[in-house]
Amino acid sequence: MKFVARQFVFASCATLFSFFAHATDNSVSISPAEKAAIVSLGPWPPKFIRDVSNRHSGKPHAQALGKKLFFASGLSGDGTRACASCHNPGLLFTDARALALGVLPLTRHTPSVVNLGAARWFGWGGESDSLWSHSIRPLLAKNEMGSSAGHIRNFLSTQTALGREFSSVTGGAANRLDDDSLLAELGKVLAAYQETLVTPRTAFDLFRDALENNNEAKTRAYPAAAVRGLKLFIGSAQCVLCHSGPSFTNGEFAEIGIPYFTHSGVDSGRYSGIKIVVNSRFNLLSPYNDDPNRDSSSRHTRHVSLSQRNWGEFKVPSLRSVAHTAPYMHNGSIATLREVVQHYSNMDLDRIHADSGSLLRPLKLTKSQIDDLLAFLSTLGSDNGTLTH
Amino acid sequence: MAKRLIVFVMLGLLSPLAIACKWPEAESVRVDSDHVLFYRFAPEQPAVGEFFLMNLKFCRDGKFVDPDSIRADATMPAHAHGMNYRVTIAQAGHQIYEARGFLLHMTGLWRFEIVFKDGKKRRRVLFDYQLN
Repeated sequence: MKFVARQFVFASCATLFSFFAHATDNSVSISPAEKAAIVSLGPWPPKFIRDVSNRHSGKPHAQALGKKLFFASGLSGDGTRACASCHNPGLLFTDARALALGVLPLTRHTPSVVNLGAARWFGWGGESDSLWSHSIRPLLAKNEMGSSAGHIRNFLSTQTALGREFSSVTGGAANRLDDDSLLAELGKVLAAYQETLVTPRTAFDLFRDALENNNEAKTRAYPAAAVRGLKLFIGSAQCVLCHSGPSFTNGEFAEIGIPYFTHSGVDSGRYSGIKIVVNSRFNLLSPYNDDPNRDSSSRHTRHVSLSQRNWGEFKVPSLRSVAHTAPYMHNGSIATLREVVQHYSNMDLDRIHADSGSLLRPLKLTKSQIDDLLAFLSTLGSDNGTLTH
Repeated sequence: MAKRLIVFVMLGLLSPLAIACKWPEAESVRVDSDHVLFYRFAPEQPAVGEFFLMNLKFCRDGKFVDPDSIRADATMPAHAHGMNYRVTIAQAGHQIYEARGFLLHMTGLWRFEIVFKDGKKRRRVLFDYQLN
């Protein structure tokens, strides 16, 4: 743990050095309202908050085991795919492909699994209401890892070192657990690892903190183009309405005119996601929720409401490290970040579902405004994408 | 004329509606000539993306009453969309109701809508809240 902490300090210092070494004097003024909006996008990293629905959350032994299992291809049905096969740590836990490739080709883009600790919904359609239940889903999906409780039970047999560790961490041997209890325990251990994956502080975070502390010298070090882009982001472009808070997402769902047809039919996104989560036997209303006060941890599941406007909505992704996670959108249909900004600039409102409200409009950005937004977005990630625990 | 005005003002001050229905630290909205809605948030300042409760009391002719039914919701008029969550109502004490499941997922102006039935008539009241 000390080693990890030292790494974090080193990474932060390196980022700081790099930030100030490339400092340029920006002369773009910031109003009090803009300052408040910018400050609301931090601080970073967030405080670790235990997931009360997961009894293994925050426990070092579970995190260590979860990491081993995350990289274990033996969990998949044919022994060829691990969680890390799609969520590659070298690619910020994505796969850099447009569409994911499990045991068979899939219809959605692989989202990163970093910065998920504070999320409310998981998956492009919010098919899960906890990180641990979402970690079960790909294991069993035929096209993804194609596994089964029986296969996992054999893999985690107490005759193997991993199986003995599983038994020690969870307090029960895999062969003594019924199918659903085994899957819930495995999901919770995998989640305990994933919730430690947090991106490091960035040039934007340094600027945001300096602004909050009225440290003018440090705020001037933030590039002028990034300040202009940030002002657009929180101002006339209204990006901040959905990409809000320290994670740059409101954790909800939106339709932004990306086609929802797939090679095998239609992906209705949040519409089917709500149906899946409320009917899941592992949702937070189930007995597998470890929170004694289930009322509080399952509020979002109890109150979620399905309506026609959810059709074609997909999860608003975090923008942290966004410049390092191409391609983009739920179906990986946009190759570069510049094209994403251009999509918002030239948005075709006819492609938006009729019930989606009137939030979206073509931004009609100039080339220099697009450059400014990209300059800002590039400050939301570190150069090497290093993660901190 | 001055006397008349004083009497009118005093009558207004002494009207049952003004005297009897009091709920400290709650906001109030007049619904119609007979009804006033009292409400307060918990926590007091709702935050973006966080669940909060709304406590409600309904006053008719100066006395708190139990409506026959209550419904609550919130929308963003500027964006023509509502919340992603359904609010449920529960009785939280004598003539106090709790609206649970409010989550405002964007900053901006939100319009709350409370619909209640007292007697045969359905009443609807709207009030705005600026979420920063």
